[in-house]
Amino acid sequence: MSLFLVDFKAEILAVRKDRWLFALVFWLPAIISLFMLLIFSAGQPLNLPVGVVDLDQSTLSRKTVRYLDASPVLSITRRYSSVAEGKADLGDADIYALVVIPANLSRDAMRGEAPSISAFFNAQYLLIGKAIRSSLIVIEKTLAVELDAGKTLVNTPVIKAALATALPVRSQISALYNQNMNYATFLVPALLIALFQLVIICVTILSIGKKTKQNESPVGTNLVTRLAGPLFLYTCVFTIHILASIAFLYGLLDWPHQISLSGLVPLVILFVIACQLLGAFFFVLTFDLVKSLSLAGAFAAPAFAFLGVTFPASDMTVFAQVWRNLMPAAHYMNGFLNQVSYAAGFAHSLKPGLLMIAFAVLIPVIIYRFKDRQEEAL
Amino acid sequence: MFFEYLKSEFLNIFKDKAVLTTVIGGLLFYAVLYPQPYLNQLPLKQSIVVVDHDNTPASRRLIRYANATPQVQVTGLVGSISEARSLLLNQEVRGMLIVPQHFERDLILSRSPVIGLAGDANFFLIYGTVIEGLAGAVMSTGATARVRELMMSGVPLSLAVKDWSPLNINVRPLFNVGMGYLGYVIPAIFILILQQTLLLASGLIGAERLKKHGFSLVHAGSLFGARFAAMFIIYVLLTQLYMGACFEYYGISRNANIVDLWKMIIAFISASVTLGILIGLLLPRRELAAPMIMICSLPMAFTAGFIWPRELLPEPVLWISQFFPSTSAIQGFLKLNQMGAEFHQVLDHWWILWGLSAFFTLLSLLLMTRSNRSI
Repeated sequence: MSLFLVDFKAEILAVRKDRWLFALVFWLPAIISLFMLLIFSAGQPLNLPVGVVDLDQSTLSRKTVRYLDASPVLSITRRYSSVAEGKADLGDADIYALVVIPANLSRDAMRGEAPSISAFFNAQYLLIGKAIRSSLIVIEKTLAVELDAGKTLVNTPVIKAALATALPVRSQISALYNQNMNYATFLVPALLIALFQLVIICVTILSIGKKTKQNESPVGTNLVTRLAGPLFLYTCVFTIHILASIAFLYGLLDWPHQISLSGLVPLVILFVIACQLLGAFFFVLTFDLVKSLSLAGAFAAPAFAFLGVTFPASDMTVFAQVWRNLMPAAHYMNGFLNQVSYAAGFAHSLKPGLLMIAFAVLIPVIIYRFKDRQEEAL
Repeated sequence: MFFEYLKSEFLNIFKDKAVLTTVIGGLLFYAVLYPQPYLNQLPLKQSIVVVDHDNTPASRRLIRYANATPQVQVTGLVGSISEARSLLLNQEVRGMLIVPQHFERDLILSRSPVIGLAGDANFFLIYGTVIEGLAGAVMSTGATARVRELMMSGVPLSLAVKDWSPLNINVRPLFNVGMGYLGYVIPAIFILILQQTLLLASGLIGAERLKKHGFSLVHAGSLFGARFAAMFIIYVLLTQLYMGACFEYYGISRNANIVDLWKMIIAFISASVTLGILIGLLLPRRELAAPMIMICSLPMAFTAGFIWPRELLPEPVLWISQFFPSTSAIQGFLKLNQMGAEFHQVLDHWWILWGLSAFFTLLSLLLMTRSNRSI
């Protein structure tokens, strides 16, 4: 036990002396987290630049343009006299969408001939494109209702009935759990956990690597037990780090949540330990700092795509599903979302928790590899 | 002198297993791994649950319409909203459709009944898909009702079908026409992967020889030049692999004019190689390269503008992101290759890449010629 404490203290000194390791453990994750938060500070895609070609120049077409501009998502930044000009700017991504109002819009609408406005949006930027498409559909409905109600009102002077003819069935759409549809609350927690997974794995490798180098010649004591002290230090540091970042987002910034500490804390601790085990595993694969860090990087750097937050895990290929199950972050994220959104207690953290405990199968592998190596050294 | 250095640079790279696995192994690995989550392109047939409080031919038609959309699939019918909610909580279904009591009666009486649609907005993509499908089904139901009404008032079917809505906006996607995920993520992220593995390789080769002591400017220049040339040649070839064979394999469109594309590739690789050399000079130990470079990947990806609109980035973030070659490169390549832009439309990005190359070169030479280095 005293050896454990000695190693623990020695590691604290070592981290304080090595300013690169110190940065990696303490302030780099914090700075990058804040940077990610700043990226999404707008919360939703708003005021996206859109161009308009108004070939009709009527009261109705001007009203359409006004409606487009009034939508929070769109902002009419360019007006063109021909479609060709607008298309060039689309290819340049100066505008994300081009709305073409045909000549005779007003005349056709008056005659009840259902004119068609064309809108092209840039689907290369998928998220932006989808936001634009949905707001155009809303505007289409609004315009249709208004035109129709205007016509019906001539015959039936009851506004409610007029509205009903225009919109025979209405729908009320509820976004559950992430009510304000905020992209920051949707993406940032997953981005942070992908980042922490990478950092914890790398720090573990760096720390074990250094220890192994120091202890290479004297055998006597078992190397694996000497690792417990330093690793425990990082378990504490990163658990606090992650809990602090969650406290910052959901406490200080007041993001909506239903987190219970009894559900969250075990998840975080298990996540940190699982990442550390993975780090140790990568190291004993090669016993070479540089190579194991490259392996770890290759494994953990693209983790975000596999978390299933942007693209649903259930729709991934079998290979991707297997791969994502090898990541503590994927299990953690499942448990964490239960915590944030569904007022789920400790019980709902059980399954992801157990899946992360499963990383303990790496322990015998790690011990065996270390023993093997020590015997080789003898 | 230069050619001797160049030769030893190549030897260094090909002798060093860690570098070689990063450059060749890493790139091949990512080319296979990264597209994996997206190979199915679109999340379709998401399961939803229905709460039918009406149970009439009209409500059943609505459910049939919902089932007929490609986006959703009705997998359950429950009696109460709370049951539906618990299914949603356990992620057994992704959305719910609630038909109110007296739906059919209100529809016939033109009382405009309200259908409830809900989805789990924690997963934006699924949520969007589910709501798109359900809203489509509701609209079809409305349209059917409207057409029937018009016909009852004497409008012939053909006209009623065409003019049931007084106006429509025909919304059409451009460039990534199928709106698939692969065509959205791959052309951009592959540029980032090229840059990151390049930076990592440069960091790994380390700059031991480059940062031994204060060099004369000529000496520093030829050492720098040799390192630049070696990395440049290797990565121009690897870029061919990524933007050629890999794009072809994943069906990514390649609309760029070949001369324009080359101009952009040269600028992009120069900026990345010079940044790589600079990073190599700054890092004291080569094992730091992987963690330091990899933790920057996410901020780099999300400031490049293909996911989140750059118009919405706060000013400081916008400025910092300009120092990543990937930012200008991704925008430039997407415009040329995916959106069919002319070269004059991407000149800004091209010049920024050259500006970065010059800036990083200058800093590197400064570091190499300084005599008392204390980094």
